[in-house]
Amino acid sequence: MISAMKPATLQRAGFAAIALAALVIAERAWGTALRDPAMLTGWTLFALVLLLAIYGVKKALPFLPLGQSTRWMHLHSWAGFLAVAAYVMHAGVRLPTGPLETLLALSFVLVAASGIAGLALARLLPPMLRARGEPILFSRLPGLRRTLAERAAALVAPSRALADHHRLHLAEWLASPDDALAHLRGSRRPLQRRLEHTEALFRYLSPDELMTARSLIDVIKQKDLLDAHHALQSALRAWTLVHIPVTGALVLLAAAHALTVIAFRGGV
Amino acid sequence: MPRPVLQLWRFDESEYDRPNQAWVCGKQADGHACRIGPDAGGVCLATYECMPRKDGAHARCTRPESAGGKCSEGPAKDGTCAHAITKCHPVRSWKSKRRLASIAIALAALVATLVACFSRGPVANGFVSPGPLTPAHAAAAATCADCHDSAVTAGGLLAAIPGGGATKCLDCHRDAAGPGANHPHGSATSSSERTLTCASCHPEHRGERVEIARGGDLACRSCHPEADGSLAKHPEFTALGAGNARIHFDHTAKAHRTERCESCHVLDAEGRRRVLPGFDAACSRCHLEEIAKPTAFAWRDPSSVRREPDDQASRWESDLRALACRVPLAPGVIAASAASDADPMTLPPPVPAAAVTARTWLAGAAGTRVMPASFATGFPATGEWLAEGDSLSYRPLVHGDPVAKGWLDLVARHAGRKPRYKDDGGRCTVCHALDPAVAGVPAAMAWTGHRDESRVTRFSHRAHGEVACQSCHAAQDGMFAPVTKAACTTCHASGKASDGCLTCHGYHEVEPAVPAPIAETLTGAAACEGCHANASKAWAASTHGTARLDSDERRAPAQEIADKLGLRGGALAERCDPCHATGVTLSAGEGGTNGSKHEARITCEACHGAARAWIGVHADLSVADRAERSSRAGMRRAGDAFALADACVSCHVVTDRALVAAGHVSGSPMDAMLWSQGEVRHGFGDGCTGAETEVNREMPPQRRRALFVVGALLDLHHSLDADVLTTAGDHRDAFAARIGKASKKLRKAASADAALGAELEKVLAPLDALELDVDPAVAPSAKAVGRVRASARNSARWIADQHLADGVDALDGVIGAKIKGAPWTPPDAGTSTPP
Repeated sequence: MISAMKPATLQRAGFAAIALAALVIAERAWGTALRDPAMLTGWTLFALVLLLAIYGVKKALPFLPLGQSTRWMHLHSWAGFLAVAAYVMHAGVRLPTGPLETLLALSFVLVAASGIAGLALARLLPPMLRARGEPILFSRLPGLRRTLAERAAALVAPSRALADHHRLHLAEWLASPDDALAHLRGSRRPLQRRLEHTEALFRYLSPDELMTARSLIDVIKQKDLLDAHHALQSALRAWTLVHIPVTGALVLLAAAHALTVIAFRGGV
Repeated sequence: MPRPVLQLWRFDESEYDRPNQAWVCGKQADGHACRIGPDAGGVCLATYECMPRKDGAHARCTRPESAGGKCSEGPAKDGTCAHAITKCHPVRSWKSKRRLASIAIALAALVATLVACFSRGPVANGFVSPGPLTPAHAAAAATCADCHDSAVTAGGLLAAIPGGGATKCLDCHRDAAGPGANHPHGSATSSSERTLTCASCHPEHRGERVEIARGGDLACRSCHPEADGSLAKHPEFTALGAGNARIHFDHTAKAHRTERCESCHVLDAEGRRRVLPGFDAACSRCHLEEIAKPTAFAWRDPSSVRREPDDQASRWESDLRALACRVPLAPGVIAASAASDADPMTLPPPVPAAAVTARTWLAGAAGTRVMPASFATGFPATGEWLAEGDSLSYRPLVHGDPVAKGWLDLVARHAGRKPRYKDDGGRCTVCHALDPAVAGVPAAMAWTGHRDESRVTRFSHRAHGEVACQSCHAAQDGMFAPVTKAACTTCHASGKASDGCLTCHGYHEVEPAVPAPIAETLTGAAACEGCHANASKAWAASTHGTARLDSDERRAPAQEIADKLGLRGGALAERCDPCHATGVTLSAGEGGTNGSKHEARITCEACHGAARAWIGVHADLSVADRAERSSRAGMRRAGDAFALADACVSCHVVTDRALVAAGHVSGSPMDAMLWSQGEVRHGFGDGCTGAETEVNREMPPQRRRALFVVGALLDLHHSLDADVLTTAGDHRDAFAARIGKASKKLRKAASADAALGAELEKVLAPLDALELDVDPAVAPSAKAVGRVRASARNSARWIADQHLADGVDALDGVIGAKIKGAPWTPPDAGTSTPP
């Protein structure tokens, strides 16, 4: 796996590993000196969270000369992994106690989990989209879906057999997106099933109806393409609905936590 | 047939999508989105499909190709488009929804942060609490302020920044942690410059099941980097268990052989050590006669005593003074002895002279030195003095004779080795070895089998009861070799019994509690009279010295109370002796100053502590830190306001409800400071030299102030008895009145100084909350009473240790002047106030 990684990726991974090792060593040294290592890991974690949050600000201000977005993305990703390690060192792997700390832990877990999920999705889904062929704008999907539904209805109207088949098996499917999980897995089974089901009619159709049926097959394939785009592009958007909104809360709660720690530190 | 392309991209074939817009057409989900769309405010702008253009007298359709091109109907006659668009309800775009969610969640978090920062009530405190407390703390602490600095919750979170470094842990745990709790092993002189916080090793708020009493082994490595938490890598033990060599005992001698080690080596009260039962119990059956054999310690003519180098002449003199406390000697002898040159190390053989006593010597026989008559008082009858020519010898007759011990200690300290004896080799030194000089502590004779151990290292023989003695204590030349680490690692190793640092080592080196004056630890009032003659006379004339339960005045009331309670014999003694006598148990067959003493009066040791453990160091004026070492050994010194006031108040406040119900008074209206300056005052010591004077001095102002405040706090502490205060009746009322008086005194003291007031407020505020004087029918909660009681005691100790009251001149105006009784003065002497 390491040999398959690009040199630049390896380099970034190396820097992250060095930073993590430094943090671990520093944390052990603090604990040995009877200083609370949670103060060290806590402030480190807070700094990392701020660094990660700045990426969103940068994206909102693209006109500012703050460097390439790609570099920011890489920095954001590796800083995120480092933040997860710092969190584990800071809070341990345990359920939080106390309302404030529970909210804080929950928000961090949501942001981190959604971020990792988003990173994975951003690596996996675009190739799947490219493999499907024609790129389609997400906002046009409903209109294209309606066009296909109207085309299908018009195609099958002269043929009773096809019209019945359309009414019973295709009309509802053509009206809305479907088979999201299958498309996320990259599965073609739903499409195959519908094609087989439609092609099973062929033996009962007249030559004219057969021509119509082949056009109907094309409509089915296009609808499947739209469903694939809907599923994959929705997934690429959905994780940001968790990751970005909760980040603001995470920053604020972390600040409240820091104030609490400063206020209550000391003898007891 | 090629599949038709779904999307069209040409500007004239497709609409331009604007994904950055906040609102999109409400019909987009159905695929019927109009090409006009809503405005930025979410208002649908759709009206008609086109805006017809006037072309002369006609209007022409302007619908674009992407929307279907020109319509067949064309514009209406009035020039409007024939195709109206039904208005929609615009919806937010994905991006807008995400932005809204971000704002909403951030606002919620902001509200939570503001609650945390600016609220002050229990709701806010509960919100920021990081987790549940351990059960003990949860029961003791009602609010955050009980443990945290009160400023945190009074002023809100922001007011507490920079942080509250409170040490409220010590408010309750000061006894367990010791006065130097924030320093490594309680030593303020440790190399660590940084004081440690309790939370460094004892974090709270980690849940109910966390054991916070023990810090982790890793914490030890901060100062002991070689420690890795395993016994295997511990340095080899040095001289552990070799303390047995302090008393020579040939275990291989036929007469000494026993079947079981436990026959002689018995467990002490704590189960930590196996101690020897003492000469009388273990050795006297065979060796008592040897004690009385004529081995004389010759006290030569002063001119024959070797003189130390010039700078040590005063040491000889002070040492002789120390010996004189055990055996009073005339000042003339002491002064002369310091100027002599003879060698004291070589003692003469037994002197077969006629035995004489000191009284005979005092009679002025030929060739003897005459001493003042005062020399004869309190002279121990445990030995014999023998006079020959110009030499005075002493022959001990009992084991542990104080004169012999004192003389041997004296010589050992100066010579650094045991004294040599001619001929018979000496009796004491046959068994008793020498503790060599270590780290500035001079050599001394080893009178006991064990040294005082550091509380930092602990070993319990009781816990190891199943291990054979020979497993650890290998025989060597009749004694035992030091215990090696291998003896311990047999069991204490990884995967077996625990082998962490904390298994054997403590962190908080806490001195043993001052022992109760049980009879075996007393030396008797006579031991004090030698150096403190006037003080003894003052005592003898005071109530403490005259009041006995068996006196004519007290016998009847005491018997009546005993009858009501059904007390007889030992039970009676156990109930009454702690306050009305010195020593609880009666001595059994021992006599003299070497035995235990039970006296039916309040003697010196009742207030100053059982003296057996500290009389030696107290009497040794050559020891630099004599006062501190005496305190550590259990002496309650006059300068220790806390210890003295506690000793007074603990008897003058009676919390025993049954006793009071039987007719005993609930207490006396005692003011620790004022009463100490009346008939019981015995300030005859010279503050500089320690010698006794003829003047009964008043207590210095600093001590008076300390005793006033500390005494009131301890009066409060002893009166805050939950059992009494929660039971309605006269006893409760008396205690409530007592508490009110003490509270009044403390309020006056609090107003005299800010720092003192701040410390006292920690007690007075929760005391007021008890509302003892509001409604006697309403009993306060026992838990609340207990908290204030503990707080009062800890504040008293703190104020005494930190001398918070000593320099507060304003207290002099608060302290009353009504002392109880008149101070005793020697004839032809008077009292004076120290400058």
